[in-house]
Amino acid sequence: MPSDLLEISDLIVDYDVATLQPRPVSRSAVVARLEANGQRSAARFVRRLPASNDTLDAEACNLALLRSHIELQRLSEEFLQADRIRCVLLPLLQALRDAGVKPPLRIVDVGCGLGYVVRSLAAHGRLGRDVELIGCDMNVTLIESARRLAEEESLSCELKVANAFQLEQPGHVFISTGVLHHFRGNDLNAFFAGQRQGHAFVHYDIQHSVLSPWGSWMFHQARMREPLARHDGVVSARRVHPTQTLLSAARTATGFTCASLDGARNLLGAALRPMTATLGARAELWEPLMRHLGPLRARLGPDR
Amino acid sequence: MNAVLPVLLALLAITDASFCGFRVAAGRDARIFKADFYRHAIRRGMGRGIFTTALVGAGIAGACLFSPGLFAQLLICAQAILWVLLPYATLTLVGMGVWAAAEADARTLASVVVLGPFTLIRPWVIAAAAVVGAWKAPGFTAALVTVVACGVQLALEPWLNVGMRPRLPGPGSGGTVKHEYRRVS
Repeated sequence: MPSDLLEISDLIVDYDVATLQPRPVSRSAVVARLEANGQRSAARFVRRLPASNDTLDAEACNLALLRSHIELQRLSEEFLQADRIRCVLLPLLQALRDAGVKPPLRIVDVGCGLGYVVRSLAAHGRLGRDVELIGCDMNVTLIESARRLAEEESLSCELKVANAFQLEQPGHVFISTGVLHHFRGNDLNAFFAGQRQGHAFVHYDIQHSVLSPWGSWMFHQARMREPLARHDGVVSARRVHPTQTLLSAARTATGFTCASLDGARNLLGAALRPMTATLGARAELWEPLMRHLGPLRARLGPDR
Repeated sequence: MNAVLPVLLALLAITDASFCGFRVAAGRDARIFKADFYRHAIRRGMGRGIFTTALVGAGIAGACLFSPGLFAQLLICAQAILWVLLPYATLTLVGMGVWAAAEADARTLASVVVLGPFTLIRPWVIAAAAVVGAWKAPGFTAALVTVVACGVQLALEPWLNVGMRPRLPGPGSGGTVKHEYRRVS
């Protein structure tokens, strides 16, 4: 199999980075790209998607993405993802307050999809009244659904179709879940560079381990029904960056002090914590953050 | 012993059906607060589990009326089936207990080691129970009843799946989605 597999969800929708307007996607081009990459089953899936004049039906693609994200939320719930992020955010916010950062403290979820983490933090987070939760994604369908869900449950968070790094009011803390592996090469540096405006970041992604693709396959077979979710879930686990790659990109692009959190040092570690975080903060925030981290400090990687 | 084995099997079947009810609902509702949704799903699974178990029980009772030695033969099959199902069920319940009560890492471990893999192998475990039960059956009818009963249990999850759709967030009061961007120069 090729080393750099493609995710269907990255290919079937496209946006103009400047205007965030969706762009037409050629089905044959996507199929050809997947076939050239040796991903025949993914190509078959895309070939079955509705299209007119070879342009993929955006509504059908977005619906497939929406259904996949609803299923994906079930995995985030099972692995307590929002709770894990909350445990890091609490000391981080305290460090920001100690440093005298002016409220409101804005937490921006980059590529939030259905906004599960933001909505869950709004529901259970108890992060403080001086905290604003903002979820950003470029997919209109996902954000519209996320907003409806938030409104339905009267959750206090904002969900925006926006580039998370170009908000009118920039974020103080950037977070994400399962987003980092979507960026390769220079795009990964650009992703981190966008966060220089903030004070800190916490980005969770799948653990880089030999166990991850197997675990991901098992859970996507056991828990998912959507073919798109099953395919992309396993590919995601194979695409994750090694910790060193992430730390190096984060340090170079932001100049922040960075460390991995919950990086697995052995197979048991990977089973206990299938997700690992890349944590970074401005140098002056690092010491206060360490003070507030408490027991979590022992779970930081050695490369600080 | 005569009553314990069938009752134990019936309880296992109904418990399994309740879990099936939860599973077919999980991943279909993206709300944060959905305990009611899951409770309803579990009740739905349990209801169908009770129905199918009662149906299979009634069928067996009827067959036993016409074939007096069948019940004793079925007890042998039931014992064989339980050798396969009981360890699976025990480990699953322990995994559930850990997930419900322990802290985050232990809960994750329970998911990774027990709950995830055991969901995946469930059909194979039931099929294995059917094979072992039929293998140990003293007669053809008992073997057939064993296989049919296990088949009914296997068919339960697909049956529960029928008509289940993701709960897509409906149009709310939010109006249009706010587009916020700055042009990249």
